[in-house]
Order: sequence, then C-alpha cells, then structure tokens
Amino acid sequence: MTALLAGRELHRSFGSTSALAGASVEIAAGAVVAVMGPSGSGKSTLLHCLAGILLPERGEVVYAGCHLDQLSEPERSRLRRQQFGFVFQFGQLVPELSALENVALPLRLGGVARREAEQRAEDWLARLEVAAVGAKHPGELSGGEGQRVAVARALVSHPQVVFADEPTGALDSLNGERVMALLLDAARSRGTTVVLVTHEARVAAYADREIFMRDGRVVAPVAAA
Amino acid sequence: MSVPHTLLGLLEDGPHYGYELKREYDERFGRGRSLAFGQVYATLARLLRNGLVEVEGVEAGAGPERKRYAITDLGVTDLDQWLSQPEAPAPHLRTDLFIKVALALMSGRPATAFLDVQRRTHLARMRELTALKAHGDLVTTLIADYALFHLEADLRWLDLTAARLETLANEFAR
Amino acid sequence: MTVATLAIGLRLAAGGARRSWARLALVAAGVGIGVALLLTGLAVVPALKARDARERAREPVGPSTEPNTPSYLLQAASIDRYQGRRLVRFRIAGVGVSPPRPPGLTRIPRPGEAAVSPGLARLLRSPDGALLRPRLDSRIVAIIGQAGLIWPNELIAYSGTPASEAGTASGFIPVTSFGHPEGPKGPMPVELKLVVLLAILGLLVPTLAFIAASSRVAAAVRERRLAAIRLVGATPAQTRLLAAIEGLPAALAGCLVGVALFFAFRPIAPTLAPDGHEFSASDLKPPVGQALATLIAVPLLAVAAGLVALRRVELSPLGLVRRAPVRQVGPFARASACARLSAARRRLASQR
Repeated sequence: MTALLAGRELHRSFGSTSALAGASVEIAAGAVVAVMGPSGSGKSTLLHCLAGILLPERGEVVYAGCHLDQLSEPERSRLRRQQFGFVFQFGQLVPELSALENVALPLRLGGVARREAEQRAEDWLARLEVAAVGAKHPGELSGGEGQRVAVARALVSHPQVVFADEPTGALDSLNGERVMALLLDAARSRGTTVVLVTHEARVAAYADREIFMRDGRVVAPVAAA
Repeated sequence: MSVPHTLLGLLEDGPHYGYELKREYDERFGRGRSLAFGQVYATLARLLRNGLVEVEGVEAGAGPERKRYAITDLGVTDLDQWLSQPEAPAPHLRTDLFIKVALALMSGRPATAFLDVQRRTHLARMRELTALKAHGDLVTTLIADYALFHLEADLRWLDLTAARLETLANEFAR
Repeated sequence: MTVATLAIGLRLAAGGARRSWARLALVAAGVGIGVALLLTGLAVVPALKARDARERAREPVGPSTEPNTPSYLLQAASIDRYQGRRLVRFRIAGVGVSPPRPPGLTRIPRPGEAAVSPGLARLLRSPDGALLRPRLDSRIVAIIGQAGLIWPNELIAYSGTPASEAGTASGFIPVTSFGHPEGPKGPMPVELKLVVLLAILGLLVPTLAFIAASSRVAAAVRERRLAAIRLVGATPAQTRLLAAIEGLPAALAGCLVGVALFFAFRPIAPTLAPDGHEFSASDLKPPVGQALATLIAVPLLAVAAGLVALRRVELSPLGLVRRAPVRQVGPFARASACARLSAARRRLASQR
C-alpha cells in the first residue's frame, strides 16, 4: 500500500546544529502515528518538514504523490490551509481574534464567506465541548479550552492530515486526556491521518503505532502500518 | 498486595461465598494472575480466627466451598484503619526487567536493542490499556490509569538507562 | 479572496484586547507629534513671509527732499520700551487736502488725538498701563485696524501733531505713500530659518525614535500573530497585505492627531517668537499642497515601513526563522509538481 505521506532521507540543519540526518518515514492514509524520541532527536523538525513548513536541505517529502519540497511557498501555504491541520503545544491562536474567529480563520483565508465560516466554526466548537467560549479571546481561555479551540481550528477545514506537536505538553493529565480523546475521536471517525510528536508514552499510547527518533534519524523499520 | 484487607473490602459490600470472593478478586484485581483457592481459604480462616469475619450460613452438602462469610464490626473497624493509612512508597521493582538489563550489561551484550524491543512491548500494552479506557467504566479507567502510569515510569527508566549506556559507550570509544 | 484578506486585516487592526488599543494610541501619538512638527515646519516660511509683507505695507515711501505733491504726510517714529515690550510711536501731521493715510487708519488723528493698536488700548485700560497713560497725552479716538498691524499684539500709536511743529522739528520725514512695492526681497534672516529648521529636526528625531520604539513593542506580538496566520495557511502575499493594512489605522489616527495638535499649538506659537520677530498665529499656514502631501505621505510611509520590515525577515509559520539556503527548483519541475498536486487533490476529494 502506498503511503499517503512519506519523508525520504531528510537532512536539515540549523547553522552548525544538525537536526535531521537522513530521516525516513512512511505514513499510510488514516493512520495515527506517534513520533517519539529524546529532545534534540529531530522530532519537531521532521514534523515541520512533513508538513511543508520547513524545506529539507536534502531528501524529499512526498504527499499524495506530490513532491512538497518542489512547490513554491504560496502553494505550500495553500496546501496547509486546505489539507493540513495543526495543533501545537501552545495553540498558536491569534490573540486579537475571538476563539470563534480563530477557528473560522483557515476558511476565511480560503475565501469562504464570513457567516458560513463562523457557522462551521461554531459546529466544531460544539463538537469539542467548548461552544461556550466562542466569544472569548485566547488570553481568557484556560489551557484545556485553548487547546480544544486549537483542535477545532485544525479540523474545521476537514484536513487530510493533522500534525500535532506536544499538544498536551502544557496541560494537566485530565485535560490532556480530554484533548487527546476528542482529537482522535474526531480524526478516526473521518479517516484523518494524524502525525503526533510527543515525548510522553501515555500520549503516544493513543496512536496506532510509534516510530522512534535518535540523533536525527528514525530508528525503527520504516514499513507503512 | 494485602489480600486479607482486599477480601474484607469485598465482604463489606455484602456476604460472599468463598468462591465468589475469589472470582471477584480475580476479575478486579487479578490482571493475569488469579488468586489460588488455597490462599483464599487460608486467609479467610485467619480472618475468622481474628474475629474480623464470621460465618453467616452454611449450605448443606460439601465442604468449605459452601460457607458464607460476612464481615464483623471489628472487621469494618480494621478495614477503616487500613484504608486511612498511606502506603509506604516502596519501589516495587519489576525484578525480571531489572535483572535482564543488569545481566545484559554485565555480560557485555548489546543492551540497546533489547531496550528498544522492551519499549515497544510496553507501548503496545499501553495502547491496549488506553483503548480500554475509551469504553470502560470508571473503575476500569482508574485501574488502567494506574497501570499506564507505572508502565510509563518503567519506560522513563528504560530511556534513562539507554541514555546512560550511550554516554558510557561514547566515553569508552574515546 | 483578497477582499476577505482585507476584511481580516481590518479586523486584526481593530480587534482585541485593551492592550492593542493602548498600543495603537501610542503609535498614533508618536505619528501625530511628527505630523504636527512637519506642518509647523512647513508653515514657518509662509508665516515669516506674511509678516514681512505687512511690515513692508507699513513702510513709508517718500522723497528725500522737499515733496513736489500738494498733499503729503509728515511722520516721525520713536521706539520705546515699556515693561519689556516694544512700543512704537508715530507722530504724524497731514499736509494738504488728501495726505496719505497710514494703513489701518480711517482718518489722520488731529493734534491731541491718537489712534492706538488693540494691544496698546488693552494695556492702557489695564492696571499695568497706569504709568504709560500720562506718557500718551492724547485722547484716543480710534483703534488701528488689522491692516496696520504687523502682529496682533503690537504696541503702536499714531498721535496727531500740529503741522507747524512737524514741519520744523527734527525727525519728521515726508511720506507720499505707504507700502514698498514688491522690490528686492526683504532680508529674511537666514539664521532664523536655520534655527527653526534645526529646532524642527531636533524634535523630529526623538519623535521618530519614539514611534520606532512603540512599533517595536508591538512587533514581537505582531510577529507571533503573523506566524500563527502563516501556520494556518496564509500565503506570503496575503501576510504582506495583512501587515500593510495593520499599520494603517494607527497612521491615519496619527494624521488626525497631528492636525489637531497643529491647530492647538498655533495660537501659542507667536508667544515663542523672539523679540522683534513676532508674527500672527493665523500666518502659520502651511501651503495646502505641501500639507496634503504630508498627510498622504505619512500613512503611505507607515505601510511601506511595515512591508519593509517584513521583507528583511523570512516570516515562517514558526515565527522568525534564520534564512536557510533553499534549493532552486526548475520551472519544469515546479509545473509538474503543481499538476500532480491538483491531480492528487482531485483524487482525494473523490475518495471521500
């Protein structure tokens, strides 16, 4: 079975620090994969390369048969908007907009009318049990609420792949559990692929399989699950 | 694992036959290892001797299996006391795991590969437990959480050990 | 889609917590001060020119010898100081049927009469003028009109004198008309222009620094905001548009503040003028064209500054990212990659 998303022999450094040194991974459609490893092993960099946020210096990233590393920046931006969703450790919500507007943002950037975008955003907030905070600003939300809003934003455009980087890192255990359960429930029910970077085993336990990274390479065998 | 107190706790709910007690214990707290009948009855006998339980009724016919046990007031008090005391934080070493790693190191075998495989096994088990939580009731969730945290603790020790080994190996190579 | 982006940009600029309003006010204040300074600077030269024109209008013109016209005016000027203020007295006597009138007077005061400027009239009425009244031993019959004043608070008086006295006493010159034609330019003191210019620049520099500082305060927050928007999939072009619009409200507000500050400052500006170079507040009028140009240029500069700041920085979804060497991709490879991407997208859409 061909993988939906694959990285082959990826190399990337920042200045003199090497983050990826020949990392390869294949992810099948609908799979939930956890990327684990100690800090400095290159997990986040791998995720950024797979999502087209960073360009590798060597190697290729192939999504649905298309080479991401050969697309222009506007094209990769559009890809992010339409096909990918992101949940990072600190949510990365826009402070000047309300929670509802934040969730609607990917749709509006794509040209969806404001009313429709906000309607869809409301539906997602309700699905994630944070309908009540729609009018609040990110600064007024608790950690758990903020992350759930971030998950809603990641899912609102019905992405093919959700990239999560330590989504529960700043949350307590109960809130973390709720966020993971809601995220994976929504993802699995729609067949969304999830790439989950974490150093916590209990978070990785939500995935179908895990890959380990060490010193910028993937340690485990590369077979698609 | 305090078997006598666990049985007392189960009896507080209501009187049980011996075999009922064993079945409940296995279901809730066994997790792979079932309690031996002999141990159950030996424990009940001791509890009886100490006045913490009493025999409520006997069914005619065969031997010990047919006695119904009930908790006494003394038993309730004893249970209360035990419940209100904290557990001594004993480092319950998973002896097998520790022994394997120690032996591997001492014999110069490549321990890293073993650690990787062990990590995968732990994670697989953790995945099962996490899936259980999604559909289970509160008690199942609590038990699964407990196991998950402990497995995670094991993994952290494994990770740290692997890191130490690597540092040692690097120093050795130099 | 561009309309949606513009709408988002305006929402971002207007939106949010109290803190962003405070920031906007800060930047607007800085821009306002700068605009006010620029407008004032542009108005200085016109003010001096207007003052000059009025001074020239009052210049007496006359022959150096005996006049050959039947009617002329005899005028003697004396300059005093009273309580630190300059006081100019003209003693005048008309000769003939229709002698020329000094500007601002409807008729020539007769001996014993005097026409005074509004400022002098006020002074004489006030307790401060008690010592002055006996010196001006004439009856006040008229107030000198605006046309005869170089600046509103000037202290001047025209006292009527008997023609016989005027003809014989020293200091009297014959006047046939008032007002130098537009001859050689009245000496515009170069030093004055330089001083004003330096003063304006001297105030402008810290203002620019203040604007830069308050913009920098907003910059870190803005960077995170733009990064979050990039993460969600805004193209670099969209992000630049958003950044450009963001600066606009503060710049426009700043222009309004600047104009308001300028008009507020105008009435008190003459009090700052050095002695002998007083002018009228209403003279401070920047040429309309230059003023409009300033008001248009400032918002444009704000927008440009925002865009330039973005240009230096590669704004990735992860925030500021060090510029890393990016591989050059041939146009053919790029075209085929795009084609495959749209094909893949269609495939995926049909699979759902």
